[in-house]
Amino acid sequence: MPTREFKSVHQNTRRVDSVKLASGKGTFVDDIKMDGLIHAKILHSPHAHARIKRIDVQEAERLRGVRCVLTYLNIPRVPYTTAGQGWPEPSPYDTVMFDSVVRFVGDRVACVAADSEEIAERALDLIGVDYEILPANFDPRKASDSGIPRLHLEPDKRGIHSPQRNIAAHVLADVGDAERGFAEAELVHEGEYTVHYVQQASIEPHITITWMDEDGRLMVRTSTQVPFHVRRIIAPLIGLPVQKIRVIKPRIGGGFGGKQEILIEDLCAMVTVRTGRPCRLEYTRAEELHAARTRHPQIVRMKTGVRKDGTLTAISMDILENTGAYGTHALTVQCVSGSRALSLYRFPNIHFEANAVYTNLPVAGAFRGYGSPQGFFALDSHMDELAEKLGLDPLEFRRRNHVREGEPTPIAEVLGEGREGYKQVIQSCGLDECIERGAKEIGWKTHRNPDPRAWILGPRVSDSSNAGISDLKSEISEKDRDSNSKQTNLKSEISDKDSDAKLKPTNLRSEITDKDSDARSKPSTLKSEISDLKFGVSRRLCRGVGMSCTMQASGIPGVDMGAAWIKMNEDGSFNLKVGATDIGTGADTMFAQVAAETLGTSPDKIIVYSSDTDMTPFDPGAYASSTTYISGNAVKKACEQAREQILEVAEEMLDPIKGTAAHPAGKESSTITRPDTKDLVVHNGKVCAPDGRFVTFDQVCLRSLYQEHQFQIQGHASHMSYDSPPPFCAQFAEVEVDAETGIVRVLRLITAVDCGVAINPKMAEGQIEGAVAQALGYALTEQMVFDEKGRPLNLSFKDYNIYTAVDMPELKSFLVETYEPTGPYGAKAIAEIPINGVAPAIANAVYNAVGVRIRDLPITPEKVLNGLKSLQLSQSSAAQV
Amino acid sequence: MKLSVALNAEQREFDVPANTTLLSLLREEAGCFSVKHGCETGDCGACAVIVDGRIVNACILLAAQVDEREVITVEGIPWVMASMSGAAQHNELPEASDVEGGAGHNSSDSNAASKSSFQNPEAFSREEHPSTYELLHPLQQAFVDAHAIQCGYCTPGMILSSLALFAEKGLIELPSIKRKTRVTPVRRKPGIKKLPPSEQEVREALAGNLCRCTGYLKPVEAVLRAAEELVSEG
Ligand code: FES
Ligand code: FES
Repeated sequence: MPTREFKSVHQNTRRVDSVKLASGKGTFVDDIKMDGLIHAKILHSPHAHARIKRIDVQEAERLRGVRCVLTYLNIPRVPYTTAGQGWPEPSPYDTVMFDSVVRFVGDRVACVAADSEEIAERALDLIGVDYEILPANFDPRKASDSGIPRLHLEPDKRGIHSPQRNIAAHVLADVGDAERGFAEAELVHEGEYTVHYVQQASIEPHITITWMDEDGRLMVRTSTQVPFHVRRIIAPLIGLPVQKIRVIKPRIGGGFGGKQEILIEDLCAMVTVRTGRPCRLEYTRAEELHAARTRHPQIVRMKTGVRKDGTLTAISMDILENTGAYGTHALTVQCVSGSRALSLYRFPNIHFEANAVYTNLPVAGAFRGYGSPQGFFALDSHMDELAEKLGLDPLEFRRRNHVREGEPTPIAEVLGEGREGYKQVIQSCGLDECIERGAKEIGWKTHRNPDPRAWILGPRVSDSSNAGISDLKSEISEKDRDSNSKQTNLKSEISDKDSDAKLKPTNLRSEITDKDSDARSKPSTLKSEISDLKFGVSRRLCRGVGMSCTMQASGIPGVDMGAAWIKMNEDGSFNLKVGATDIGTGADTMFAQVAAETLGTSPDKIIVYSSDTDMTPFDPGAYASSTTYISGNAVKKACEQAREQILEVAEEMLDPIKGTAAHPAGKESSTITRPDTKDLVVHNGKVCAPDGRFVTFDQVCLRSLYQEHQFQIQGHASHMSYDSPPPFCAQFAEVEVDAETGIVRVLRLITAVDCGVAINPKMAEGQIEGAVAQALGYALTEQMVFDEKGRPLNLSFKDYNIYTAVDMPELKSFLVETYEPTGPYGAKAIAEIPINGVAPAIANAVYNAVGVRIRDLPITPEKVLNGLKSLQLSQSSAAQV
Repeated sequence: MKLSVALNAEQREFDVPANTTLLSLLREEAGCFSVKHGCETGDCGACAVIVDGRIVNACILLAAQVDEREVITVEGIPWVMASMSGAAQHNELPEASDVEGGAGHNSSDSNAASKSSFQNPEAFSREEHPSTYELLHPLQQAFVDAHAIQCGYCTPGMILSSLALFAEKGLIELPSIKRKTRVTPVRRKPGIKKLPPSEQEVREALAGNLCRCTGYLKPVEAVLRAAEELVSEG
């Protein structure tokens, strides 16, 4: 960590928006009042695959208060992709606003706009649709088989790798010669890993409000991560030129990739275009949970060659990705799965192949991590297995093989995002220290379970002669099940809503007359009781420790470009306008800090305005971990320009003859010399000369606006990069597995991240903590489940279980600081990386606890129990032999 | 139907369809945009508000259910603070309701009796407190200082859940504009030390507020910090 003196960056500056958010000021999309607002609602397909034979909207249209009904019959057919990516989008153009074929339960059938939501909903019921039900496929492994329906054969669709085989996207990348590498290996290990459907679940749903302004331009106020892509993508759909559209992003209630998608803006805009009325369209939670976007499920096959000393010789990674009914982000997500996972260790020979296939299930899209969590679950589990086979400490094995400063990551060059990439050489890497800090904190040496099979031989609870203890225990196991309801099998939970209801604290609060609010405290007391029992009583509760190492990138090299504009005001404040999109990440605060550091003032002098296609310069948006690195650099550059101008004006002012700056006391003007701009420094809102004289920023700006050589002090800059320096991360989990129930309880989760210099360490920590909470859900409790007809079964937060405040394990986060020479003030990205390694760290910890290897997420008690049973079987059959 | 609701220090009259939820009453009729919504099925707590001293999810209550009751949203926090500093009339409350132990809820009958008793509207003067920007409750301030706010969508609900917890623990009293209504169930006898909630109690209080951004660590920290502060202030 270089010793650099920072004034504004590397500080825990309070978030620029936190006061208004703490006082509940109306700052989100929905927090405006509009006269004449009408409400749109969507009719979704109840079938996984069907052709609309007839659709009758007359009755709906006749309903009083209905303003317009949209279906495929009255909407032009324009193929596009809903993926909010740069142009030309690497995702296939396989979507139209409305189609005569529906391809998953939740696909669009019609849209109604009416004077109220209730009228719109009633109108939806009045739409008569005759479906011809078509065969559907829910198994990605069968997608290309004969007899399986092809989903996108229409000739007007473009960019699909192979419509005839249902393959949306295909990637092949090689480094060296993997076959030769396997031949050189002394040990070749293979494994298959599967990851499941999960949803981003931002608490604010997708919501858009559109209206026409006085000039006949369409205003789109929307909860999005990608305002500029929204404008570009909806323009041809609604038949307006880009010039006629303004997209405004107010505060956003979380995105996590789900809002890197043009999900509803087109419909809302179309209603306004057709009716001239302001229109509001918001997804319900149920819609979010099946008709929005998800993380791509993948089946990942890994094969690795290694020498006995732990040297890697080759890896092959083969991904079968389920993109659902449409190919949104299909190509690029699987590219990222490969390029991140295969960059972390020194594999001299690499073979990578990935196919994204269509199924009749919900549409996958962008979700924090963007392929990396999938790839790293496979890789990190695999590395753990390999280490065991080699008889090496998994930590040591990783340490020997991970990339270091000065080394290239060859896969990055052949595997970019949707196309070839650019050569990358690691310029900063703090992974060793991450591993060290995390290992120390978790107690790697002391807390690893030396004998993962010990539980098989341990005394059973019922064997205990101490009746008191065994009573207590069975009681606890009851409670344990209760409090862990989230971690029990999801399907059974859903089929039994009633029993679930009593377990979730939220249901109770609704009853204000219910005096017994104690029910909320149910999950509490358990932890301590159980841990008391842990030692010396039984081997039923087995603890284990596992870890993972991951990396991400900072922006898409050669693709992402962000721009910024800064101007000075006469009180020494500045307006900073950026296209970059703060969706709750703290980007606006980070920009204020970078600007203040560069200009020599304090962050509270920077008024940040972001993401408005009329008012700010371009930015791709909040994705690919690009904001700090790409847009932050743009802000820094723009501020450097403004600073130069400030210095020039100040130099004139500090001229002893012509200048206006006060002379220091006791000095004659003849003894004072005019300073050179290069000797001037900006500090604390002042420009200071070496002789101690200074002028303040307000004086500088007043002069430049009103007095001499008048001009606006301002800077504008763009930044793009062929570098994308990876942040690194080591994550450690300690778990407790109940050998009788299979329930996994995460006790501690340690994360150490190298994100370069953290511009705001507290915000960086917040990114880690939030990502870890999401990742815990990914690992253990979240899963979208479907019945045999592809109908979603968990459509509310009762059934789709994200972590709550009482579910969280003990979290610890460390920022291991390096200095990234290409980043703004040494910074790299932070937002996505901490979500990558939690699931594999937990899976590895479960293995360490009880010897059960879970290769299929989520880690449910059922799967663990099955693993335990088969271990027991093999143990007893071995004993018989 | 006609409703009369004591909303953030003001007795307000509404006339809404019978099927109006409390959520839409608050957002659409009363303009309380601090009340958010993330599910409208009672599962996320983004719409949490305080009704007669207890935290409830506004989306699954009908507006009619708060007729003659007292509702506090985040917009009302300056009023909560004004009464903290003694400006409100809670000091005049009768001794009779001085109940220890948290069960001191008045029945709705006595609420009805006090229907028109909105008195002393100057108790909270907007002139005195022109802007919440200068007037953050210690709890809000703690959320700001502890970086407990990311997107901020869950924040109002969390703040109200925590306020209700503080009231339950006797750290604060929730004010009432009704003469006879004791909103805060606990009033400690003088000399009995107030105790801040434990971390577990805070986590339970926030268990109904889903947050997808923070991982709850910093919000819990913020609440504990604010509690400490309130205790040390006495
Ligand atoms: S909106 Fe009321 S609990 Fe979610
Ligand atoms: S801060 Fe975003 S949901 Fe809590």
